[in-house]
Amino acid sequence: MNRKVTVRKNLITRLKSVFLGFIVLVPLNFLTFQSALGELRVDITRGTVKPLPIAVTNFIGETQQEIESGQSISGVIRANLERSGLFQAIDNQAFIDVERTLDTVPQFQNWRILNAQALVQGQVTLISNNRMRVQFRLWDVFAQQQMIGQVYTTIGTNWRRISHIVADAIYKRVTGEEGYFDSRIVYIAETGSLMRRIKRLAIMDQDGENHHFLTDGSSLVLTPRFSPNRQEITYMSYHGKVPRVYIFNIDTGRQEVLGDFPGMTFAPRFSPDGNTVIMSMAKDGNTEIYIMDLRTRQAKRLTRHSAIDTSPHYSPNGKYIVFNSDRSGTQQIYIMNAKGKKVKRISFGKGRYATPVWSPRGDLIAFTKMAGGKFYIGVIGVDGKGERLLADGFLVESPTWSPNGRVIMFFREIPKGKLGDKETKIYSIDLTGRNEREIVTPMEASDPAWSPLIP
Amino acid sequence: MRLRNLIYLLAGLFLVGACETMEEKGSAQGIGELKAKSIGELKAKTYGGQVTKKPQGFSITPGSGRDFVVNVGDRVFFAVDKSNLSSEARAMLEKQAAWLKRYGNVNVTIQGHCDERGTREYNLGLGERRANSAKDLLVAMGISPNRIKTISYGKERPAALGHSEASWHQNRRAVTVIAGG
Amino acid sequence: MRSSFLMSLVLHVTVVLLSVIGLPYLQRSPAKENIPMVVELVSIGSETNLPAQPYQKPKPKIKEAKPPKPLPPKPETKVVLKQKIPEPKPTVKRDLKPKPVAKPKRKLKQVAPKKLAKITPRRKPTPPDPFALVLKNLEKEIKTTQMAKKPKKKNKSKKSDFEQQIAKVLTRRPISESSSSRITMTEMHAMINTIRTAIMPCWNLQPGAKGAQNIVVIIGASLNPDGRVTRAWVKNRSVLIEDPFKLAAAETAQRAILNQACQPFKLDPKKYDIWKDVTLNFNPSEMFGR
Repeated sequence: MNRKVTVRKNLITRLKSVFLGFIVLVPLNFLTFQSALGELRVDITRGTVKPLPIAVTNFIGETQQEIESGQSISGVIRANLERSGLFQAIDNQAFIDVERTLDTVPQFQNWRILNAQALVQGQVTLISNNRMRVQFRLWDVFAQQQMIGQVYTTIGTNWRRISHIVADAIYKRVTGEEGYFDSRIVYIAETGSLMRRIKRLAIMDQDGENHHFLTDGSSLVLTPRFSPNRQEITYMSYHGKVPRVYIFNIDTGRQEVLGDFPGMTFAPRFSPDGNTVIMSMAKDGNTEIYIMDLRTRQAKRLTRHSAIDTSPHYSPNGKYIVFNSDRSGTQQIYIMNAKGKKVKRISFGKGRYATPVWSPRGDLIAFTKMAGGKFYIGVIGVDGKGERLLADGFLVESPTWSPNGRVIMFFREIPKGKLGDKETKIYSIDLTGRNEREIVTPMEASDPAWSPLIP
Repeated sequence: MRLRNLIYLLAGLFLVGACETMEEKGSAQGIGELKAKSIGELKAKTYGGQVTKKPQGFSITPGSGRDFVVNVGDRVFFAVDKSNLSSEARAMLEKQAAWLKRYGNVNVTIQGHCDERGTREYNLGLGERRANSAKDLLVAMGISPNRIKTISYGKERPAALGHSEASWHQNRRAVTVIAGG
Repeated sequence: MRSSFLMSLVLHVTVVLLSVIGLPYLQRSPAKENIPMVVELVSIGSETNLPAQPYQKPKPKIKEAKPPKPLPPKPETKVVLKQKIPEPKPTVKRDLKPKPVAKPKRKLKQVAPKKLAKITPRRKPTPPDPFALVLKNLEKEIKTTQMAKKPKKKNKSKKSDFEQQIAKVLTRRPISESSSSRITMTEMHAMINTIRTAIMPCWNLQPGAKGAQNIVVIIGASLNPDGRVTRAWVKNRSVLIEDPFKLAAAETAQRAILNQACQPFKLDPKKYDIWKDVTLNFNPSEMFGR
């Protein structure tokens, strides 16, 4: 095939290039090069950031019970995918002809008409002993291929959990990143007047379901955080008017004060291996960072500075600690190594920075920023570069990362009414800053902390 | 001396009023608007809202918590993000020290508080710092450190509601609370 | 002799029968191959399971004296085996490396596809922030919306007038009359632009992911004379397949070119032999300001 451009054409091209000068010089040269190769090459450098249209059919079943379970499971999957902001679930009412079996290839044209790019089918089978088998297939509608297909067997009461696991599998296959739906949130449920606020530890699934209270509100409790690998939460309690860091065992309900410190301990977090709790202790007007080895129960001081050093948080590899200090005169974010040495400030923007939290991916640190009478939730590179503010408000605080590092949860206080009242709620926002959602809780809520993926 | 009795009377009246409000509403209504009122009234109200349950008439036992609040003043205020004491705060703590010397068997807890314009954990540290700077001054004036405990509530226990500097100022405080009083 | 003949006959018949019955069966249900293998999610100990009752709205009563009950832990569910569906192997002819190409123009807003060949002047990229374009930044938005809104608009309309003029001049040039296989740079550029602008709305990126800006996907595609894509395959699949995220990015690009919503490409049928096969480089780096 002769697609080569003649010398004359090339000449004309060159003339044109000169004629058009700076404007088109580069593209035209590039074209000359391309056509000489004899192939049409197109560079796509811009796309859109739209959610992927996905059709999640109701999982099929034989008996009424199976059909109902199938609908519930699909509903949870659909809601999860939608809430992530990366998927747009197509309305089930629009479905044309839903396949009645999982054993044939779908009629892709029926799904393409709806502009579905992915299709989820599934089946629920109740087997003996209240056990349930859930299988699903994820299809690429354009490529007309199965992307993933799996079967799970479990106790029937576990259907919600299975739904999250399936949603995670779909999320992972489509985005290439780990999902986060099979995870939980521990937070502080708030009631009562603002002057004598009653605060309780509460736990729920990532989607707000399965809600339980862990404490009864008789003591003021704050800042709960999950253990990375055990059914434990570390938090701060004013039990007996002695504010200290505690550990709560989710399995047994046991609460235990951590260590025997001479001053107030607060701002606790587990290390990535779960063997250490890092926290602050305030005594004689000075707040320093300590670690406590949970096996030996030995405490060790990490910072030595007259400033308030607090909100410590380990990097995912456990080698560094990011923390909040006012040693420069105002609250800023610092990083030091795990031994408390080589302290380096990373926040230099206008305003005060607080509550640093290291992303599970390791590349970013989320923070609270206070500037110009407003609060912000933002992220910054570990090197202190690339600060980006994602959410704002009269007060936003306490960012926490989803297990895959794609979503941040935080709480927001919204002033309300004339008597200085306010409303406190939890929100989530995608790392792009474009998908903010309220997490609906039974009562007002603050201090959210995201669990790791449930092992 | 007469004047003093008059003040006693007035303070007592205010106290009754404040307590009634508290009982009726069970909330902090009325305490949100603290701006332009006299210091004495303010203290009585806030104190009443925080601790007392029932008005006890006009008699104030010398050496009691109420005596301390009404006749001395239980709190000092701080600037934004600061824990150093202003001259007014020093004057107040001097009065407190004098009172504590007179009633040598009384122990106190100093609560450190912050306004709502900070982050929770940092404010816990800041509240502790404020409580401690009040404690340090009392100790410097000869009060035994064994008689003084400190506790920080950060921004968890505001004394005034409202989202303006008028309220925030009332909340950036260190409050000396008489043990058992 | 006779028995061996019989044997041969039986065998032959069997083979024939198999080919008649067996093969169509296989073809009719290709899903059989994809039948998921049973993955056992073992639940350990039924007493560790969550209670079966539906979630009850917690009562906002606070003055309960009784201590909170310990929460039954989440049941352990272990995936014993994960089924992996074999990926269909694309016919990779040759692995084209992405060529260093001229940086295409930067557009802050999507411009509706134009039929005329269009040359947008190259503009200096403004944001130093690597995420500035696809990722939101509240601080930046405050600044830019106030400062830059109005003058930019003016620039834009001016620019597009200018563009159109140039484009007209270019397209008006007499095209080499002779054969369809010979085209001018202008035509070539117009084709590229047509395809590019058509596909852009169908390319759904994943901007929040780590390292998303560094993944270049090369897609080969065959087109019908009506301007629709009949087939598309990832040319550099081998370098992408190992990382699930890269694979997902590749599939995203593949979906963009296969999405009928963005087709047919309005290309001159006379030049079909030029555009019947195209190669597309999906490179999001520019969207991240790099």
